[in-house]
Amino acid sequence: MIEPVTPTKARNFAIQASFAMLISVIFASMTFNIFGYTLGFIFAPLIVLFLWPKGADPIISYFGIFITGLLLDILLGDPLGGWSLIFLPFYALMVFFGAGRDTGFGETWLNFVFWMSAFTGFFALAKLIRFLDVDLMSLLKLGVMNLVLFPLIFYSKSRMRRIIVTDEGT
Amino acid sequence: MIGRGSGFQKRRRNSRLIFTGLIFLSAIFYLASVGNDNAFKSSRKNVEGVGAKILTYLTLPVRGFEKLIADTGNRWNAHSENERLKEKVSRLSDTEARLNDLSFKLSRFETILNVDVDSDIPETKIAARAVSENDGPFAKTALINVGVKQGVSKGDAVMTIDGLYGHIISVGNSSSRVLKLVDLNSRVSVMSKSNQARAILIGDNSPFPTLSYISSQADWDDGMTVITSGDDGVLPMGLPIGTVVTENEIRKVKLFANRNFVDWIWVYPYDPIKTPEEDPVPVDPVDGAGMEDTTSQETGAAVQEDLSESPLQ
Repeated sequence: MIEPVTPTKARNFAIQASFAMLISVIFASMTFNIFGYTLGFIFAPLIVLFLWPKGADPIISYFGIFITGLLLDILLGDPLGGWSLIFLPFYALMVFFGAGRDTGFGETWLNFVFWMSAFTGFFALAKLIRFLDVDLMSLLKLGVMNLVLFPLIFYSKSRMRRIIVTDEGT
Repeated sequence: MIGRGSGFQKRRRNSRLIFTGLIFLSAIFYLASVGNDNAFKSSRKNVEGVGAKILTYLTLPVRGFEKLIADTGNRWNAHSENERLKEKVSRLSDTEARLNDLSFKLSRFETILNVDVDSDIPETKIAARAVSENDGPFAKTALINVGVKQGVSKGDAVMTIDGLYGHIISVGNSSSRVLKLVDLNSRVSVMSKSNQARAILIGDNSPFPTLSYISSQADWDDGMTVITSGDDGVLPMGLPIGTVVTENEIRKVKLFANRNFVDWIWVYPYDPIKTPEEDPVPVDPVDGAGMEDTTSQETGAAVQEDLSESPLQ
């Protein structure tokens, strides 16, 4: 059963999630070089989309996703609007199918594996129909990196919510 | 609380409208900016400039941590590395003496023959940090923290300590974007250092870009050093790129700048050769004739004169 959410709490959820999305976008534009390996997390915003708080104000959420998508385009030098075009429908689909509503970590992670595969599959399909020219190996690498990163963001989210969001929605 | 009343229905309808509107707007942005470098140019540059500044500070601890790990590895190998370097220095000191001798001879020949063989490679270079490197599925670009203010301009070559890394594709006030050699859109005219065979180096998002448009007479072999040819008039001649390797009978280039850890890079400001249309000779106000006409006539006359004195006639 979906817990009723006050309008204030709904707005706060959306603002906090948008802020988390902004951080993930900045994080996505950075690369890390450890032991001679380059690690990139361009798909990190997908985790934030997946864990987007249920009951968050949809209008603020859409605007948050749209603006952060544009920012990611600019930071990565990709065509403007590309990431927003990907993030917005994925977010809508996730909300429609109730993604990320599982209670336990294991179940949520498995659900995320499905969504991550769908996301990667979307790019592979785009390459297949020659709409996008993407490198499949780096796509696969980024997908795996995102699955490894998921537990960190999952636990950070529950910890942050305990600190920031109280029952009154402040 | 949000109930299931008319207010809820209205809000739901509004949110659907906004969702559709934002998708539509994203599509317009996308279609306008695909294949059009000038779309939203100024807005992009402003955001990139701010982004580069923020990322410069944010990446400092990350780069520090990476350096710490790299330093630990270096210390571990310090003794063997020291021995290897000593051997290399003794070998190179002999080479240096020979090089100095050759350099002296070369300058003497240049003076005798009165030829201009100055290197195209600019002597000034601008140090910068790659604050964000996009190694994603689409573009292979990097954001660097220098721009117009520091003297960077579009088309400038970007080098790492090992070799050519890419070239500048867009410049802001204090940030620039570099298109890496491996990017799908990268095209650089190159040549073999040993036999000057020409080719075009085409990025294909793989670590080894492909050598294309190789002439049938050209003799390319594995291990040959590839440098920029300068034929495109954009990059200076002689910048080191990599060595030739063959993969499935396709000639590819193993880049010198193929190390994963790229932090400091150098931008080489270079004035490309201007076309006559871009660099017209000012019209003489007295007789209204273009200087180039006079010059060509003079040159023609001089050539005719030379031919008339030729011993072959």
